Amino acid sequence: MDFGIGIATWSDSWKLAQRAEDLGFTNAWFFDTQMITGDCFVAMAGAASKTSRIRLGTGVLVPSNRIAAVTANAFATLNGMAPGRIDFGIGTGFSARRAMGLGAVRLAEMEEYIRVVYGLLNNETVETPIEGKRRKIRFLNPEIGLINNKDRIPLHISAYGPRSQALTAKLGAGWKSFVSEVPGAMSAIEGMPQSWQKASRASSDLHATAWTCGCVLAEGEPADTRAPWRKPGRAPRCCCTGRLILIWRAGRTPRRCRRRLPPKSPAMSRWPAGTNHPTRAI
Amino acid sequence: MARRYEPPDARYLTNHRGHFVFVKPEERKFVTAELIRRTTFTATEQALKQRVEALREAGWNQLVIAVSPGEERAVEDWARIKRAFD
Repeated sequence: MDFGIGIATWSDSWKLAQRAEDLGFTNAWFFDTQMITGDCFVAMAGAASKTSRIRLGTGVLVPSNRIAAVTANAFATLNGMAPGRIDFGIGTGFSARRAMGLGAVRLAEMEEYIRVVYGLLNNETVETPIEGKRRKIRFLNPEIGLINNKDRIPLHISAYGPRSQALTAKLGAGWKSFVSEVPGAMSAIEGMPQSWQKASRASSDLHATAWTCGCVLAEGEPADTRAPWRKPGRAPRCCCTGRLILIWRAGRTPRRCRRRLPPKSPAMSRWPAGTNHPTRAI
Repeated sequence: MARRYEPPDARYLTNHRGHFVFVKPEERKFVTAELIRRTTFTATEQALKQRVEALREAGWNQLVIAVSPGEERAVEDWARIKRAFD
């Protein structure tokens, strides 16, 4: 089992990536939520220059934030700074786009975006709509070494629903999902192999990454003692609640979440029974 | 609560402030110890090792712990869990 960290991107987040590397973590994933956190590519560049082993990836990139050519270039530039250590994580941008009043990107649009990014990274001439017209584009001089598109940049897709999981399987990408507790994690990973096998892929090729948040407690310590507002002045040490709150903010919750929540929780009255959460990605 | 956020034509500006980074004061009352225990990987070291082992046996290859600004020391705690799987 590999361990990674998910970073709410900020200017100095290279320090956390560096410390994680020292502690033996294999991956650092940077949020791409432009209205809430810092810029993922700027922060990843900082981390690339300060680390030598840990893998650096977008966790996860939102297609609509940049045209595909810019994203391909950013990854190839990072790949020059940290050859072979870069991962391309992508999702439909539910969180980042909601913060601008928008819905998630359509899966077909995300698939097209991925096609163009990898086409460019593979030195192909690709045709794609730019400013309302289909245009042929390619990297014009990749051979002079300003970017590195030779070392592989693996794809990882944040996929919660059957259609996004089918796309993950179709593209043979790494699969990223969010887990809150063990039964939910079991349930999630039981469903993914079906999509994987439908795409005629060997089960051994599936790479599954579970995101979570939480806190390591001392024996007998209540779960909420390290919440920042419980102990003023004490450095908080965990991020337990963000995921829960973002679900609550969305106004709906997955049925599987409802089953896990305490029945008399104040938050439960906020969620009407029978509702489900729209496809989302972090 | 969210229906009263301002401005009315852009409630998301308030709704998503601190999204996955911090909990807004008015939302803290919803975050009880029981809710945290049931919906996050918050437990003792021993219990967390058991949970991670269950994930590993189920086929998960990587566990990613989300760390927010100001909470960087959490990585030291989670490194102890990680070492059990090195």
